[in-house]
Amino acid sequence: MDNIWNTKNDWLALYDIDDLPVVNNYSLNDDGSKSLSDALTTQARIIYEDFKDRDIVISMSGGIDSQQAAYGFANANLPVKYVYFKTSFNSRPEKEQFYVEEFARKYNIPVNIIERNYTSEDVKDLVKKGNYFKDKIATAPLILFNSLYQEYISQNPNSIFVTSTMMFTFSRDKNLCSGGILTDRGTFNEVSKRTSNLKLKIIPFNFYSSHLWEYYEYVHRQELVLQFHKRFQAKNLAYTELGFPLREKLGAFDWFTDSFHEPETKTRIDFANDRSMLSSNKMNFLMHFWGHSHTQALKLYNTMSSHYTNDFVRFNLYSFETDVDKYDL
Amino acid sequence: MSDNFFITKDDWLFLPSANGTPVVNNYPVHGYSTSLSDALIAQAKCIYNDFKDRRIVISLSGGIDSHQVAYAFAKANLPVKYVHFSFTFENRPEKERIFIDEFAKKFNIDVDIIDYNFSKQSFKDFLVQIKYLSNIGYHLLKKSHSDYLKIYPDAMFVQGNQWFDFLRNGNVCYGSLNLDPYYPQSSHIFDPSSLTFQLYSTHLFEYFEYLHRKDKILQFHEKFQPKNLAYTELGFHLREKLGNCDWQTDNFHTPHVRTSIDFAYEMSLRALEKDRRYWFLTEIFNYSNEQTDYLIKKFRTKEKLTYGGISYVNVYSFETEVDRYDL
Repeated sequence: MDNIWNTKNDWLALYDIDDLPVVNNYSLNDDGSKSLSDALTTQARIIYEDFKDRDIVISMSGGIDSQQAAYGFANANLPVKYVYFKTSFNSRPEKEQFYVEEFARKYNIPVNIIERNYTSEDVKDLVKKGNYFKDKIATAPLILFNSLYQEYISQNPNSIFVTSTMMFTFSRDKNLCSGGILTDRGTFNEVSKRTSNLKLKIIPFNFYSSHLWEYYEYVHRQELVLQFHKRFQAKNLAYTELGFPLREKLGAFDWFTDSFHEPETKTRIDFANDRSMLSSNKMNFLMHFWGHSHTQALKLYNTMSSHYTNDFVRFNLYSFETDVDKYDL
Repeated sequence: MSDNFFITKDDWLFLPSANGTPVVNNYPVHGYSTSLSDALIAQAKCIYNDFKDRRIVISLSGGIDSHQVAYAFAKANLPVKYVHFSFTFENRPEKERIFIDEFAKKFNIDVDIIDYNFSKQSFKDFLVQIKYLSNIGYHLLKKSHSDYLKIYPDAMFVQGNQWFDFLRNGNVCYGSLNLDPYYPQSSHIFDPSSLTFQLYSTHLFEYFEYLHRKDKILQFHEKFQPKNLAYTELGFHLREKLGNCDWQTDNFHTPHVRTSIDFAYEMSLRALEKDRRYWFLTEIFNYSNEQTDYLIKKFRTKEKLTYGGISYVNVYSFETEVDRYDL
């Protein structure tokens, strides 16, 4: 069977999009990275070594996932390309551009901003082609960015994208800690689907090699505070270890909102649950592009089968015992 | 001239009355520190120099406010006392304890744990004695400080409460004291044996201004509480939101108000306060659910009369161009 994911020597494989990954080769290496910075930089070097005959393109957004990938390559000073697809709607830009620009300035990298300004008709077209309302795993970013990637690749056939959706979670159940994937089915499938559509054109930064996840295991075993959480998304180490600025929650298509800084769902960083803002897009699409009222849109939305709502993907890469449960009641 | 209700160096910040508005008499005073760590250390040194004839006591909880204070004194290697007043209930400890133990280990400080282990009856008596309406944390702190002062009358407690926001309105940024509605009653400002670390001298606010003027991302937020720089500058662990009397909940790790860092609004505590009151009334006073609902409603009505809205006192302001990124 083919591995849907592009991973080094198939160390981690997904053979069916509705299934769980299979670990073919993983062990915690004593000589592994002892800091997040080092782990990201090493991960970038591994990817570069394996694909240096291609044009490696780091696909950036304003969020901490893609910026950790960009940090890895920038810190290693590797000759790759950084691209930000700026999607605007009727000339209303995404707010994340600000974070992309500030990151580029701080780490001194040139980011190629490729702008697409969509009209209502363009969006309707994409939605139709992407089977957005019928396909259970279609998400707005998926239909949008896959088309942008494909367009870029058709013009730059030697390019290969590095994308980054961090899905790694530290968990604890009483005295047992574990680390692995714990995410909603929508996010999991989006990552998988992107890779399966363009397998040879996309590298998932955070799990291409096991290096980064080995670091997560190392720090999890090391830090009692990380063990104490019942759930902690390892991506948030970017704030405390790399000093990444706290930032508003970014959703694709922030054009829909007039205020980026509120309500509190925007300014809250939930380190336990990455509350995806993707599901609200379908409602927005129905209202903005098809002219439905909120009530009509909600009715339609509720009839759509979706993988987002309550379905979670759980997969443990490692587990170990802890004594922090003594602090529980 | 009336007395200053704040303890601040040379009255740089002056509060004329308990419910008054602070006046900025003198700002800025020092040169800017260029890192949070330096600013905290400078602030600690300033306090130490002015109160070194007293027993300086850093009152530690598991939260980032008091940890920033402790960090400053520990980094400056100053001979002060670190104390954690532990309020347990029938031997059920506060969950914050792990954060204190780990902090002490990391920064190599000795923390004196003073344990108050309440029984159901003694806690009930305590609640009756303080005529509990809200802010149990303040009352517990007051009791513990008062008990401590009986043994060490020369103690000067250094508190970590942080009331400062970065704000933006259009193209103007502000650094403002955030006078929360809870502030007059929750604070220890009327206690001459306590001073607020953040307010004592201007070092920390000067650093906040330096950074705010320099960092465009901080300018872009419409509201940001700079206390959260402890995560990104000092590498403090993200942690569950702590409340007092967390023994009343069986679950410290949910719901999301526990695991969310809201860098703009400090809202979580109020949500937790409601649960706490509910537990006190049902478990300690054995009220029925109906009686409890009635009493909580009564509390809320009284609260609305007691507290006003948030007010801000600007320490500085400047123009920015980040508003071009607004829609």
